[in-house]
Amino acid sequence: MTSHDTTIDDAAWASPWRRRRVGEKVLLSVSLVLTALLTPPWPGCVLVACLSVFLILGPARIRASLLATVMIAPVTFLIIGALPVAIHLGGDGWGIGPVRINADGATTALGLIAHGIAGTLALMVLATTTPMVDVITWLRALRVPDPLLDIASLTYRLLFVLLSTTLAVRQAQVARLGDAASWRRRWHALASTIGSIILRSWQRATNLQRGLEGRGYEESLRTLSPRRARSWPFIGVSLASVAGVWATCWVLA
Amino acid sequence: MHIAEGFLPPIQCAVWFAASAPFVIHGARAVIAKAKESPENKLLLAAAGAFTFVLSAIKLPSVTGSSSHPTGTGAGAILFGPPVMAFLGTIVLLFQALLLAHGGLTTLGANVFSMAIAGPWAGYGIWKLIRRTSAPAWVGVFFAMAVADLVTYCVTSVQLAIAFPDAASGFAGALTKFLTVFAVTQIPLAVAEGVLGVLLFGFFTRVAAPELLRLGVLKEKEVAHV
Repeated sequence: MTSHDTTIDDAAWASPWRRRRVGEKVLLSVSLVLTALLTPPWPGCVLVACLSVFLILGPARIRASLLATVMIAPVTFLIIGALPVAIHLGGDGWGIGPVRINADGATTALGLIAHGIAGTLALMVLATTTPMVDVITWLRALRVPDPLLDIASLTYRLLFVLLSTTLAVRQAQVARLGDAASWRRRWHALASTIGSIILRSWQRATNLQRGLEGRGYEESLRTLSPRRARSWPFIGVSLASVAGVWATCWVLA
Repeated sequence: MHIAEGFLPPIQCAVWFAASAPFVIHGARAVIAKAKESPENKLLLAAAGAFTFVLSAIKLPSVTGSSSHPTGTGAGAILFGPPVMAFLGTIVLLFQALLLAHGGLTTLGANVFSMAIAGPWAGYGIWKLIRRTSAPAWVGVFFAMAVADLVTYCVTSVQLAIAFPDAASGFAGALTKFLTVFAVTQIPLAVAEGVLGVLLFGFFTRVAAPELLRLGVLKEKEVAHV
């Protein structure tokens, strides 16, 4: 675990698109995600991927290096996940023994990677421009029950406390040469670390509870959010872009 | 491993969403009931959700020299019950999709079904079964956590085999293929998660026995022996 775990959220807080309405960004991102899922790899997924990268690096002003860092893990998982799809047991094609790879399997695997990369980039349009707090506040407007959103909101807030605590505990262990200990000692240290983090999280939760009760917290944990004006040009351009991808697919088909 | 965004065909995405929805709604109702009992429960459940998220970011030392991460849902199912984990697991998977780019939105239903429903229910079932025997608590913890981990990945294999049946050997061949691929990492990982669970609950029994008693995880006589 590293500080990269909060990279996407950090970028979302700093993005100029944070001032846009969450619903409008959800509309754009989900439309692109569904387009990546429903259209063929060429040209649909390629166009969705290009459009998403343009939106993230252009108007949303996310650094290219950050996007590359964020995409390393999902792309790696996609490639590893697609390998078993490419391989067949028996049948024709090249391979060793019953393990075979043929053109159909390879095409299916490459198509999956294209769908996956395009879909993940489309999801990043929302993730890199919208902090989780804004998503939760938006869900409140959709009448999701308050207790559920309170728990989601508190989970999000405790997450960063726990991440920093875990990093501090890990650094302390490394400083005490915990990584150089025997295999048995390392397992005991790992169990103690996880146990300590759970107990600390419960302790922090109790402290937070007392603090909130002191401020009159009884039912729901509502927070103020800035008023954001609806942008019809943004909605129009979003829908036109997605329609453009579908039209291109239809024409080339 | 979560199923990545765009990996499943559209119809199957919808089917897994439909299959998961009743469990998540049931879990949400259980969570609302617990929250209404006491506002303190909200904080505890939030802490459990945050912990599950953080646990998935802790790397385990592996026999192969590489590293993996636990799912943590077995421990959550023992402590809070599987319905609560269905809802908390959904939140965690959504956060992982948006904060870490792990998993995805269209595959959320399938991932929820494997990690937040099948795994916790299987682990909890084994826990309850073993607790009915005279076996010590650590045996139950080990098998509950290991089974929750294994079942999660077996269900993921089934989901992938349904989506991508083998051209020559069909669903059975594809299932064998995916189970074999996952077994290389997941069987050692499941055993490791079980061992970790035993050490973890041993730590809890030493330093947080009253909480384990209150949650009904341990019995009075088991705590008295510590």
